[in-house]
Amino acid sequence: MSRLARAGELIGMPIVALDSATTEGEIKDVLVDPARSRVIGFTVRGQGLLSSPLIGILPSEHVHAIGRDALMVASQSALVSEREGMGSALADQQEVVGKEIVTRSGSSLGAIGDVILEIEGAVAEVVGYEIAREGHNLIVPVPGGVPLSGEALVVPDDTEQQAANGLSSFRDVLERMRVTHSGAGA
Amino acid sequence: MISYSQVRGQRVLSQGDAQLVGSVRRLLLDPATVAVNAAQLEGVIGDETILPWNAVVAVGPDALMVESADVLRAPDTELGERIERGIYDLEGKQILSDRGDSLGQLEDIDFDETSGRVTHLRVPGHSLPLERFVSIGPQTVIVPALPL
Amino acid sequence: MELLLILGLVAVVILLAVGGYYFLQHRRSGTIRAVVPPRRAAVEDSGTGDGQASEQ
Repeated sequence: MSRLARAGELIGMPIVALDSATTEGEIKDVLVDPARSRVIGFTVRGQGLLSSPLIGILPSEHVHAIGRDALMVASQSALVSEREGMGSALADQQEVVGKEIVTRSGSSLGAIGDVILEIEGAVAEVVGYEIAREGHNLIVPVPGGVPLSGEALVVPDDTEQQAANGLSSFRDVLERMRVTHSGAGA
Repeated sequence: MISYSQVRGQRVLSQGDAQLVGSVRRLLLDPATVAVNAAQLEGVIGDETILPWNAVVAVGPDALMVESADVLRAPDTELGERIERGIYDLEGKQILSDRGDSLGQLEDIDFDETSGRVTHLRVPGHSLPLERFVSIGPQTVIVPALPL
Repeated sequence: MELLLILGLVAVVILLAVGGYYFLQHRRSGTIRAVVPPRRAAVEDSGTGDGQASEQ
């Protein structure tokens, strides 16, 4: 039973330890592996304006569940220090928000405003991008995955036709795409 | 079946001599046994402010009855610390499922008056049947998520 | 004359407060990042911690 959510909405969510029912921090950055289009972890900040802007890293393997109101971990030890976590890897990173999406034939669809995740239990996969347009937003599916490098993300020409303007209609788009693909091969 | 809100603030009287023993300040819930196992009283002279729930003889509409004031005990250090930290101030705590979804703000608790066993947590608009707690913290109560 | 001084001081305090607020907000703000995951060590650490490459 999966659900769709915007990665941007995870930012600021409290991280709650199951053993003590205490909040150990808040989600700061959402880290995505571009090769697998999957969330591999989060950076964690303290709660409150004056708290530490970075108290550690939470690798996905230590996440018990990603809920609508909180991210659950077994205990406070789920958070690791930046060095143990992804310290060096963070240097090799690209901000996804703001990246331009361009079709193969060279037209720009706009800039990425948010990333659409499909969340099931503790796993979150990138399944689409939200592009800000005047008046309304567009959500496009991304079978190709997440950009790590390059000027822009290049997508198939028919991407805009596959777009939805909200999460519920986007869910229909995804289901249609999956039916088509599963029909084509085992 | 009685509720936390009914009991909080109630007078505690001793059956023997009809003396006022104190009044209920808060109920002490044990997450492990999912039961109210004691009440902390106020207005008591001395350190013995803890009333074990099994010493409550009757819960009436106007008072809780105990045999005598001798049933009261002093809290041990650990209990005292937990009370300080606000673990037992359940009203208004957020109820979170172990899957990370909020179930509402705790408004009241239904429990069996004899055994103290908690049967339901009340949030605005709903009564949540409770089998067990996952944990209780200073601001949050975690319960198992409903099966899908 | 003194009034001007006081007004100036108040203005500076307000500027500092507002600036401070935005600074604190900015350093806490998060975003979505595409990162290369860390490589796991080929040989599991036996716990003694020796034999590792020195940190740069």
